[in-house]
Amino acid sequence: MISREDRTIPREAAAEPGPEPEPAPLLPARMVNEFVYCPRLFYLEWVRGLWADNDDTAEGTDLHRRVDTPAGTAPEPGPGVRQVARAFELSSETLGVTAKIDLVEFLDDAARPVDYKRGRPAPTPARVWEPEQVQLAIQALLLREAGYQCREGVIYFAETGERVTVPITPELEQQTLAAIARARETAGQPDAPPPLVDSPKCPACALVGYCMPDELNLLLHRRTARPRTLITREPAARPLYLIGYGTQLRKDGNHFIVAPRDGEPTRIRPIDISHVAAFGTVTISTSALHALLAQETPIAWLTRGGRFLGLTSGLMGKNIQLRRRQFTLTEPEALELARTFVIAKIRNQRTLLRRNSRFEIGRTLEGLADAVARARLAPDSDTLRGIEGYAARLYFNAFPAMLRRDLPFTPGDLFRGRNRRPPRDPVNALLSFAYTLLTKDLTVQAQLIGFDPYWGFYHRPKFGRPALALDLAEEFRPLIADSVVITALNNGEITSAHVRRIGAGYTLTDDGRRTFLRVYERRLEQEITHPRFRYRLSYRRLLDLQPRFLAAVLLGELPAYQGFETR
Amino acid sequence: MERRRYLVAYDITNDRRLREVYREMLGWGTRLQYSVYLCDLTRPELIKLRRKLLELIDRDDDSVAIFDLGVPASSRAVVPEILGRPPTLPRQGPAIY
Ligand code: SF4
Repeated sequence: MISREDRTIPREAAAEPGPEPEPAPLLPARMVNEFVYCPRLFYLEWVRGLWADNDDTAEGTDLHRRVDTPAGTAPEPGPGVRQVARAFELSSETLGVTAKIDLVEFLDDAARPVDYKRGRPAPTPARVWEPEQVQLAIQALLLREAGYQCREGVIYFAETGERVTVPITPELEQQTLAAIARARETAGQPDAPPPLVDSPKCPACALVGYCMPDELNLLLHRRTARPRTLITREPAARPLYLIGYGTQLRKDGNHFIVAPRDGEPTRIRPIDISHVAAFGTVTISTSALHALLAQETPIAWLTRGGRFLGLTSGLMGKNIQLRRRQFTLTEPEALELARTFVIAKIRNQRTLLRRNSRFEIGRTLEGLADAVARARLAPDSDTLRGIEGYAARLYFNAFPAMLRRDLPFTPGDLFRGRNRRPPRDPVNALLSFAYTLLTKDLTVQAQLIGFDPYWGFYHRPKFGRPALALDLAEEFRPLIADSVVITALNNGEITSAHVRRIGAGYTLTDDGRRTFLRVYERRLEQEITHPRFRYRLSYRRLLDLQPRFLAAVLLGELPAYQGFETR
Repeated sequence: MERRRYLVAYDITNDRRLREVYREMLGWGTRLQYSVYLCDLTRPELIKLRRKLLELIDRDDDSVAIFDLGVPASSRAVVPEILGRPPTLPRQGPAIY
């Protein structure tokens, strides 16, 4: 969950007139604190601009709201003054840091910074962890530079109400200056520092969901044990689908109302919506649109028939490095990725057939295995496309073997090989719709992570086509989309009543779409054991995980992308 | 992040504040009875709700009680026994309209 409201935006360096090089932005003391805690955390927050709320940060923000209101004025330095100032800001070009001090106590002959922390003192002799000591020392150094004497600082622990005094010793000063210098250096590096290995800090880290320390370390062979359960397997929010003709989404106070044309309006909590999928002629009021964008909830627009039109989302994230890499990837690098997508897809097609086929399809399985072998050697992406097309024909020829024989559809009309625009039979109508949903989900996901969803490595960019999402979708087509189509038909959840013939093509009725969506969403909730990480996770989480791994590959944190394959 | 179910009940002495708290609560939970709500929330969400309520109420005259009922799907969750009109419970899963 990202909350823009609570995000601390790094202060921009003041624009200097003249030809002097622009000074590096001042580091907030809080960021140096993060650096001492974990250099990677510092890099993700400061350089990549990531921010997430967890228990600690939410409670921390809560606490700081009370002390962040500027109040009091600083007296001229000098003896005999006793006063306090809140949310006191100081910066230093020399030190290259800036700080907002919760509270400064001005004594007779010195100033004393006080930092508010949630929780309780550390169970160590110093009673304060190193990152807090360093943060306090920066505040002290800034006060000294401003002309005050400063011999000690105080950390106030909100939970226990204790004040712990931290002497600002020459050693702590040295340690602090060194930390500032290393933080600056790290910020200038092109790559993020690697994740900590087996660190007890990670479970409490706000960015653990982005960082994926245990997963990355396992894939990098820096860790052998299976990953701890650090990342929640399930996001709390779910998509909101608007399908009915003329359905309205509007905002009322601080919640949303969905009003179908004929039917009861329903109240929706903002925190329940992960993204909105708007099909056809639905209305989203401007205030609802604003509210969605403000909470960084994207809206996917689709035609009523289920063609994906585009995405509305707020400002793109600060993750510029990732997008830059996306556009500057070399041909061979892009081909390697394309190969992985295609191979994972064919292998998953093969697995699906092997598991679900009701007839003997040995020849097809052999052909698919052969296609995988050839894809491994494909010298360019055109060859790869050829192999993929060949595999697709084999696969779709055998596709009916996975369907029940006695389905209540006109036999022969059910499936005539893969075709689209318009889908010329019910199965193709379902397949097309399923692929749209998958593409929609991956476009949303890619965008959230900071990719440009429209620039791919295998699919060519074409107007309005989310090429990267299509790339990412390849491995999931058999696993999620095809398997949902098979389930929906074989379980009798989709019947001939849900499919309509229009001209040369077939389309789903609104009711059919709703029914199919439920089966699709059910599939996303389904949990599987990850073959490498050996923990259970849902397909929904997997749709989030795989794009993150792709990002890690582009950013040089992982050597190679691995498609997800079931056994 | 996992959501837990909270029962939130309030007693507000002033009509204007009562209306404000009521409107605020609609964004967070399902109304069980007058001034009683069920809210499924992650911890950061709970902290934000708490903050919002503290901003709205008069701490000398009003009060809000928050009970943790546990994880909704788990066996240890507290399920209220309701006599009479069946309650609307918070819904989970995708919303399809
Ligand atoms: S999860 Fe661990 S390694 Fe990753 S940023 Fe947080 S503390 Fe650092």
